[in-house]
Amino acid sequence: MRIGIVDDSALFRDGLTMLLASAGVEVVFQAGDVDQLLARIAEVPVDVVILDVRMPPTFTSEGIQAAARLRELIPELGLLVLSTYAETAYAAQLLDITTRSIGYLLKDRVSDTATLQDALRRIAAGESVIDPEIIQRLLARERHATTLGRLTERERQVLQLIAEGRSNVGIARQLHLHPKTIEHYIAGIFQNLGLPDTPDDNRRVLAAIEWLRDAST
Amino acid sequence: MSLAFSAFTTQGRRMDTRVVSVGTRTATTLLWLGGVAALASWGEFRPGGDSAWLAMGGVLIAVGFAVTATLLGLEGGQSGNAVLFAVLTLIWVCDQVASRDVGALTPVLLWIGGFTQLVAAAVLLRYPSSALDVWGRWFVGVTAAILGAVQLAIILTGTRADWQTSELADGPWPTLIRAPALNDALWELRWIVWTVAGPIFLVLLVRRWRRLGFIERRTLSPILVTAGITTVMISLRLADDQLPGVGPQVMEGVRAYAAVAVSAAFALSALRMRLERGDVATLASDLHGPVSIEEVRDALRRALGDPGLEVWFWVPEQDTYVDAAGAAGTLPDPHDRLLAFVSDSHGAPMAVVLTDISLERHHQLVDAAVAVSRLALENARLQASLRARLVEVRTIQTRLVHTGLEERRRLERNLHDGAQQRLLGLGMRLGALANTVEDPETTMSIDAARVELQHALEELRDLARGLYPVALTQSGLASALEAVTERLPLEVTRDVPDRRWPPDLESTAYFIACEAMSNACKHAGECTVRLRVYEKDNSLVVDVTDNGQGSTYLTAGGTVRGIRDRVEAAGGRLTVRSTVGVGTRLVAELPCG
Repeated sequence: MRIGIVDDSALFRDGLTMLLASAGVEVVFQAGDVDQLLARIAEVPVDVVILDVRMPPTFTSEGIQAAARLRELIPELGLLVLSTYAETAYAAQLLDITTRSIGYLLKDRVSDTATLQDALRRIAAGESVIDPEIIQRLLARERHATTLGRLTERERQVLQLIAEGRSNVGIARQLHLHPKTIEHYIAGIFQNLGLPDTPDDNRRVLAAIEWLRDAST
Repeated sequence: MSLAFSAFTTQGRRMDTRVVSVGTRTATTLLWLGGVAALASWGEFRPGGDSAWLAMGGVLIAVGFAVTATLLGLEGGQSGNAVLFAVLTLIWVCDQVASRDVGALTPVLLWIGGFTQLVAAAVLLRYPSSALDVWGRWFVGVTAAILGAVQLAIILTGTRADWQTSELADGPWPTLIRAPALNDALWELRWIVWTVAGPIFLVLLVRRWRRLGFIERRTLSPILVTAGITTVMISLRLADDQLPGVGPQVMEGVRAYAAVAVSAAFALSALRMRLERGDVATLASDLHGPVSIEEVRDALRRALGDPGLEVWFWVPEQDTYVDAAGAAGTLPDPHDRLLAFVSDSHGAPMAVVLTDISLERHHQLVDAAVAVSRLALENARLQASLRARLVEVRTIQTRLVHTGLEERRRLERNLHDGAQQRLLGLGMRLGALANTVEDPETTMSIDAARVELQHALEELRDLARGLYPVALTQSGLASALEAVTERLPLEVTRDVPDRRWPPDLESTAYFIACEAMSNACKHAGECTVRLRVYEKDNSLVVDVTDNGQGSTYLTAGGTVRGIRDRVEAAGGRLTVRSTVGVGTRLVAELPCG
């Protein structure tokens, strides 16, 4: 798998490159800002680009805007956005762009090789990846207590994994269950939450997160 | 001693000169008015002549014009119009006298008298300025030329009888060619000139009225309205024959009295301007005792009849003029406002009175009013400098708030770009190292180090987020408050509009909301919180309500001190109500701009 990295911190870029190299993943280019990225990506084809959210010039959400632009330019390119803070609003903005081959993770999450490799593989396979911290925070909201109380422990686990962006097969593997059983669980959860059941894994992520965010009660 | 004496005599002599000058002026005025009245009425009231009320009209017009000329002459900057009015008076008297027994002079006086309406029109188009505009000059010039020629031709081709002068009129007539048909045509032409000139004059009059300042409109409107009506009446000779039961004689009278009205309106307006000076005299009693800035200003507004008048004060400490509210400002262009500067008793700048530019023609009046109110202005200046100090304090406060927030943003960014990225990079390196090491003991040490690093990163992240949430700059209050409430250990319902306000206002509102919610976590016990942010009456309102146990010491100050400081620094207002067993409500209103 060929990876491109764009982050304004050279220290972070080098650390990430070293980590990926040690795991046998090839980083074909590094860029310090969006302009450099756009110049390099035209020359060197990659499978997934890892982007920092905060980059020059305004250090707010350049990474998300760059992701939107890249998706338009090269639709098949996988996008993993990394952030120092896990913000639900950023995750939602990213999922607004697309729910296919896109990810949003905390930066310290990816110092774990297994997590990083798993995320890259899933993104390359067309799945979406959302940081578990965000989903846990949303699930912990008291206002969901009544509705979520109706779910079993297992069903809550499945919901968390759905919202993180995993496919039925992925969930089954994680929980050591049969995919058919997972499908059964999912149907139950969606009925309980009053969500339209859809076979499309990615659209399911968005539906679950929107339900959990449910900003104005 | 001798010095004092000489000063006394100088004073005395000056007084004498003044008395003599006043006496001379009064005598001249009386002689002028008396002469005009006598000439105008000479031979008028006699059996067989015009009816008495018609004759009276002629005399009244003459006296009205003469009085106006006198009043204008006494007013500064109106000498040109005063002379024009005197000329108008004399022309009118010529016209009146022409019909008496003056022999060979009759045709000359008639010719001169023919210009009466035109000279009156010229004054109306000028007053109170001292020149005609370009359209006015064309109108008066062209009409004068045509009228002069036509009148002369009428006289030279006709006889004394054409002028309907009475049997008394006897004497030579300068007939050049006797041509009755031509003469009739010329009379007709004269009427046409008048019927064309009348509407043009009206148009010019309306155009002029529209361009006047409000103070001038107030003074001139009565004159312009009567003049307009009179012009219409003079131009409509058709009415003579068409109004049933009204003879030409009656119409003649109505016209004459309409002209009297114009002359009277003029005299009244001139008189009014003189009387306004009397308003200035009442200023002194209005401004008796200590008065506020607003009282001085309002008294000056009344005295000068300018509702837009403003008073600015010089604040030496700030080296600038400030307005009534104490805000520093740049003086307007002297072409837009009339500026009357006032100095204190040491000659240093003290205040400036800003009036409508149309008062420039009455600058003596303004100067007098300002002179009378100087002492009151000096008192009001103390108040103004206090207000200016307050405005300055407020500005500094705003700047401090801004600097504080700016510093938070900078610190957060330094932490993010520096320490956080460095530690994250280190985590990656440790991760890479763990992949290459096979010795279990080393792997354990590396894992332990990574756990420590994770804790350090979390602490640093909380610290940085507390300093300044980046979501606030990027997506505004709604997003930033969503992020913060998500992490709180209690249930919060949010009602925050997804819109933007100025950065410092958003930050202040954000920190107030955070602190209020964190208070609820600490003191309210088991509860839910309702957070509402909305705009009302140009204020951004942050309303945090919980249904917790309530706490009396929450309202006492200590806990909300931080919030109160923030609200006050932003120039806003804070209300906190806490009832034991019911809950606590905190409402902060922050001015939007």
